[in-house]
Amino acid sequence: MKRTADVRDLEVMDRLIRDEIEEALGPFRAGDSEKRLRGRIAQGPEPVRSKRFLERAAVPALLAAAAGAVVLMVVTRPSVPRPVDLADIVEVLGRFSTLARPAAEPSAATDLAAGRPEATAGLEKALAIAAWLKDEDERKAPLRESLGEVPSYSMEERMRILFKDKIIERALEIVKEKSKEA
Amino acid sequence: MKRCGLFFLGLIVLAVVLAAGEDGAADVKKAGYALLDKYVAAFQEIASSGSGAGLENRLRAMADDAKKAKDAGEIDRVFFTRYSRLLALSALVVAADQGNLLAPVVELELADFLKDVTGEDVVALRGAEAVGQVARALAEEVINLQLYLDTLERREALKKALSEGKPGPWKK
Repeated sequence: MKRTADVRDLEVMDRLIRDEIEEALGPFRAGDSEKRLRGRIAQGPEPVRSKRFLERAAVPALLAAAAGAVVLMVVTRPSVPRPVDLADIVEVLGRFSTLARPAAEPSAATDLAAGRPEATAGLEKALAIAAWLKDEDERKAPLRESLGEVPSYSMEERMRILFKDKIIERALEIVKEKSKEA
Repeated sequence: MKRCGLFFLGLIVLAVVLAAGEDGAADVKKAGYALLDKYVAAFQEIASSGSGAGLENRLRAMADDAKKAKDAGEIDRVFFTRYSRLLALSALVVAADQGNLLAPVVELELADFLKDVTGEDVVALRGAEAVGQVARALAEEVINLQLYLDTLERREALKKALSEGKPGPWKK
């Protein structure tokens, strides 16, 4: 008896489900379903819904902005100058600086001597050398004083002064003789 | 994807913060470094080519550039003064001095420059010893100027701390 009741319940449930299915399929079965199907096939696949512009542009924009920021940092960052090389400075000064020239007789003396009679040229050269030596001693003296040293002359320097004085003396004698001759 | 976006966003923020932090000091550094580089490059090129033609013109052009940068506010007064002195002394020692006309000026300027930069007295006025001493002082001054630029932000921070009465790092 109980078994019959269970079967009956199952039959009711089966009918309810079938009704639901029929109800759901009803709209599709109405009219010419084959024609509708063919129409859908002819239409082709439904286009995929495209993403919104902001969604699509967000990541590339972020990437571009990040790349731009990095480039800006590199460009605006001050580039450190190349390291200074002492050898280059020594090389340049050694070749082109007046410091590298030996303390020889002044070029002015040879310039003066050029194209002059021998006696006059000799006199002017002697005077130029004397003046140059005098100037050099005068230049050195204030430097020594500024360095706080008492100027003291070695034997060699004294000999130079003596030699220089003789040059002046000799030059003056030549001038004196020339003026007498005139 | 969101994580990636956040990472790049963070990068941008970092870049902006760093750029804002450098502000005026970065401009001074950029112009100053460029001027120093020109000076070093001139010596490098002349030393490698062996031709001193145009050295004085290049020094003059550097002086013009420095003046323009100073007028435009791209370098500060301290850098301009010291860089100009470096150029002037360099021009003085490489000038073709007929008849040693400039010798007294060169000697006085050299004595001052050496005293200020290396603390040395003039050991010689002619020859290899003089060249070596002046070259060392010029190189030292280039390094001093670069260090000055390198530490601009630190200087500003110290000045600010002093003006606010905060103890400096030497009072730790």
